[in-house]
Amino acid sequence: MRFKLILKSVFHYMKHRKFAVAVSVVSIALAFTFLSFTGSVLFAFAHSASDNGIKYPLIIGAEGTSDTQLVMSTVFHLDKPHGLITDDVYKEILADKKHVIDAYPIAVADNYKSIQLIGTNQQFVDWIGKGYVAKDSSVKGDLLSDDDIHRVVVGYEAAERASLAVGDTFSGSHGMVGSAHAHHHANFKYKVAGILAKVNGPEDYAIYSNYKAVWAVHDNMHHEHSEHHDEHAEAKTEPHDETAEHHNEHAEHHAEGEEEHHHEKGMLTSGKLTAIVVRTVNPIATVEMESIYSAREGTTAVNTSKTVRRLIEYMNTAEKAVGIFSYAVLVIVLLMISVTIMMGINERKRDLALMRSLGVGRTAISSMVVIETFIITALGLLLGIVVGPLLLLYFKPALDAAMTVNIEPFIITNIEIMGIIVTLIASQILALIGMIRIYSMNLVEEIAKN
Amino acid sequence: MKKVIIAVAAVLVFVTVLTVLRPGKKGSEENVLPERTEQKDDLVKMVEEAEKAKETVKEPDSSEKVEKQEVLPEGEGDISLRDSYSQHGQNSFIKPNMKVTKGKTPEKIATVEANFAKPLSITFFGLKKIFMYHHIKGFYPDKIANGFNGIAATVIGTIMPVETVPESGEMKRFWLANPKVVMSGCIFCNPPTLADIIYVYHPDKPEKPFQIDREKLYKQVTMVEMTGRFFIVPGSVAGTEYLFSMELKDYKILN
Repeated sequence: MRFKLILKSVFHYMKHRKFAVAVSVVSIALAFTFLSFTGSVLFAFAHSASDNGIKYPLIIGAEGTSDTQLVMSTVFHLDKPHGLITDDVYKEILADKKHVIDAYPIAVADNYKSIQLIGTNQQFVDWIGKGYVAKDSSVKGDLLSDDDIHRVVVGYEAAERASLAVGDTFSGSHGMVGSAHAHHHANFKYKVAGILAKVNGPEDYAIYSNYKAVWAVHDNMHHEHSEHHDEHAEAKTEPHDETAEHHNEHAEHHAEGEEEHHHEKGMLTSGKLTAIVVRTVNPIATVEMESIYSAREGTTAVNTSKTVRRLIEYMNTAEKAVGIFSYAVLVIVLLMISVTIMMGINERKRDLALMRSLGVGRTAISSMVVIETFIITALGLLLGIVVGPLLLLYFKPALDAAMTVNIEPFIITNIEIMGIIVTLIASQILALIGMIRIYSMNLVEEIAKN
Repeated sequence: MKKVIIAVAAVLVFVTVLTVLRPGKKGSEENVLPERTEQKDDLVKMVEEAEKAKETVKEPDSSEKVEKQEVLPEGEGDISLRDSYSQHGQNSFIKPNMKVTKGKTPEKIATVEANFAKPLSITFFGLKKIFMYHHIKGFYPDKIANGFNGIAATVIGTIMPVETVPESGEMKRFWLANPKVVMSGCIFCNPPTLADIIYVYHPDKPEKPFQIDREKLYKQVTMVEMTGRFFIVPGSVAGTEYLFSMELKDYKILN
């Protein structure tokens, strides 16, 4: 009966301070939503990293490439490849039946609307893919066979982003990101032969072609450049007035394309690859091959699991830092709520004194603070639990595309569970402080003072 | 004054609660490894007993020796390794990329019935011992070859997925790896061998399907104690090759 009365009284006061209560609830919900975002994004990163460590056990690239750069460029398509290796290495790896189940060539140099064009083979697409949502029915056999190197297979999200459908044709631009100044490979047209089913990974955001197509494009580009240089050399002998403009254009062209032109460093022409993805027979074979190809001149090998584990360790540290920050925000919000509640109590001292004179005990009166704090905190958390995943669901497409991961909005991560526990405990500790203050307060004297 | 003491006490309680509930503490190496080192190493004992028994047996005559040498793997590396072992015994240098001798021993290995009432406790240290024995001599000790394949055993190790983990967290096959392989900073300094990984798989109708919290699997080193039938016959599943395998019966996640 008494508890019911106290509860009724609490709801009555909350109703009177609607705005303050609403602000408090929303503050907790927002702080919790931030925590929820952090937990889900970091989980998606760890998930993607771990899955790709399984899919791409070993990556072999050019000597001098860092582990992270090789993994980022080959697996996540987030960085540019560094240097080239010859396809003899690929052939040699394919022949190594002791260590290798299969190996896939990777040749990356171009993009289409900032989506990376990855030169590889049909086996690679079969390994990473889960079938097709659309396929050119006129093609007999493999889509990326050597019969027609113009055919490409497009990742699910890439097809949506670039509005590509089966049968569409396009040409790539040189470099990893779309740029107005980038060299446009207009002479070589790609034709969409298939759209991959969604795999919830970085593969959704790429376009796959036959690696020999990448060679053909760059052999052609190399040839064009040689001719262009010859023309330029000849032009130097002509009168200055006529060629001044051409000279400037040539200089600009070279300055703008410095990064993307591998002209001096070595173009991705026939017989060259940017990386080789190796599927090994077991983790021991991965370690052995990593050791062999890291020691060899001209190549470097990356054990993806090891690199991914290191990335996850960094992320765990980041998660702890963000977690502490988020908990601190939650505690600050709770402190503000406590102050608001205490101010509210000061305002209703007269009512409380009346209740006291009617025989309601000190404990019952002081427990009102605890109940009110608990209700506000619980409502805030509930709102955060509901709103957080919904907001994440709304932002998912943009976040997935930006980070090439698959965010699962409705997963409850450990950081969120900890957030709920910390918020509830902290709120009750703060409420207890308020409760003690009211318990030790002589309400009649306090009113008399006023 | 009283209020200040109460406030300080409340803050202390809060900090203590936060410290106790701190995530990641459970997954630390210190919390897990002591259990592993305390584990009784039955396998090492078995190998040592087998070696002792061999020492007491009289040397075979020269014709027997020739016959045995024909069974051993051929190649210069193997011979030098064998010579090294005969000269230096157990302390001989073992190359990290040593190849397991295949096709010689499986037919000699007997499969035993599993007695899950008294499972054998196995450690990776013990497995390395029999792996090296097999490598150098080309066959397992009799006690291992006749009484070990298919035995009920328990092993403690870390989980390494073989394939993408489904959202349910149920894994049908995975590697159980020596924690040192996963936790050590430099795997080149301590190169793992096939004895450092066990291929664990579900039987067709598992009594207790292996299920794991994905977040734990992705973000920390997950230690488990596996109980099942242990096999020493090399095999291959969808291109994945293993030397030791275990058919899972029961498991306990330790962190």
